[in-house]
Amino acid sequence: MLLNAVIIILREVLEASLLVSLLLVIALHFKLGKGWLFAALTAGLIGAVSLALNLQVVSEWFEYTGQERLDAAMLLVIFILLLLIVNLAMLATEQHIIKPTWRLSLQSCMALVLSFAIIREGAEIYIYLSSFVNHPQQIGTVYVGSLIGAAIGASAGALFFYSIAAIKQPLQLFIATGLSGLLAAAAASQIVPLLEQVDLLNAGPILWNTSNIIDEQSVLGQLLYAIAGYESSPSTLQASVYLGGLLLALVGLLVGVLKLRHRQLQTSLSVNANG
Amino acid sequence: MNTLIKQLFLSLSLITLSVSCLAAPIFEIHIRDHLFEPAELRIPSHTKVKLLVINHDETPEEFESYELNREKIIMGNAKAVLFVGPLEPGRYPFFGEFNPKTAQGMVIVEEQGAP
Repeated sequence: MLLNAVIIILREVLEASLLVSLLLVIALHFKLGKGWLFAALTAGLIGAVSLALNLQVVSEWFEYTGQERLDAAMLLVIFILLLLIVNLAMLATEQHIIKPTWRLSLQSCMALVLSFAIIREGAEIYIYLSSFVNHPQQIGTVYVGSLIGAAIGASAGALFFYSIAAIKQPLQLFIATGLSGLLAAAAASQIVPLLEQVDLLNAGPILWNTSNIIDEQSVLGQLLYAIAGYESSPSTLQASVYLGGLLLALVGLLVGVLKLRHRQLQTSLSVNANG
Repeated sequence: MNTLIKQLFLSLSLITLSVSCLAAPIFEIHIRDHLFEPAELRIPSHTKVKLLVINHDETPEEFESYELNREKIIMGNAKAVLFVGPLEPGRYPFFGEFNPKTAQGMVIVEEQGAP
């Protein structure tokens, strides 16, 4: 029971904490403060509890397809917001960074994307924990296990943050936005099995099965799922959507790299001219 | 006129019958005391199948399967619908994430016409 609680809460917290780490790296680089983080935590927690308390009603919408439709909609929003963050971060010039509108746009995107991530994970955590309210003999064990799981998830996020923050600029920003792009692709690809689950999509045959190489249920598999949406047996459509999302994110990153090279070239040219 | 009406009625009946044959077959899985019943569900291969999961427990359960790529929360005393397939013949395990030690099951996909 304890181990079960640890694993369930760890998995949910890990997905959100990795996102927080990436967003914090980007926010620190552009000196955006932490207001967006507290806004996201508040909105996310309120949203998570609201969704959890109404999940039965939501599940019955549209002939028992409501849960999947809502989840898919949130994933789509997360995908779009992460792409926006990648593009805002990569296309920003020195003139952009000081403008309040640009800063507010990036802060809003980060607050919103984190809110939706917290709503998705938090609702499941709330449902799981509240199911033990009428089982006093188990509550203690479950809550201790949950705290341990949350602590491990948060620690993993902290480790992730400090690892990336230790990298020198400009590579640090590219890695943070690159990994955000990976999360975007993962979010988009998760829409596919959700809609297939309620017969709203035909995802096509399974392309491959790599569960004998990396099992989804292993620690590595779970980590890869949290950071990159690893799927051992993806359908044709799921793999295509993942690839498409990745390409879209890469476009933003490529433009950022090209701009950086252009700036470096201009700087060296002007140094040579003056020297 | 009577012949025409009879022909129309017959055509409509045949269409309705054939369309209803195309609808996905429905299988029920019941959750009682954190156990799946049946623990082994046999379904035909290469067929889209509708699973009706009925949770008789007070507490919610999450029906999950890595092999089937399915994940859905079913609240206490509630039911949920999800589709699986078309699948190749084989064994596809599933479990209840909130009670994984007890809530375990297997979807066994068999070739059509198998005994």
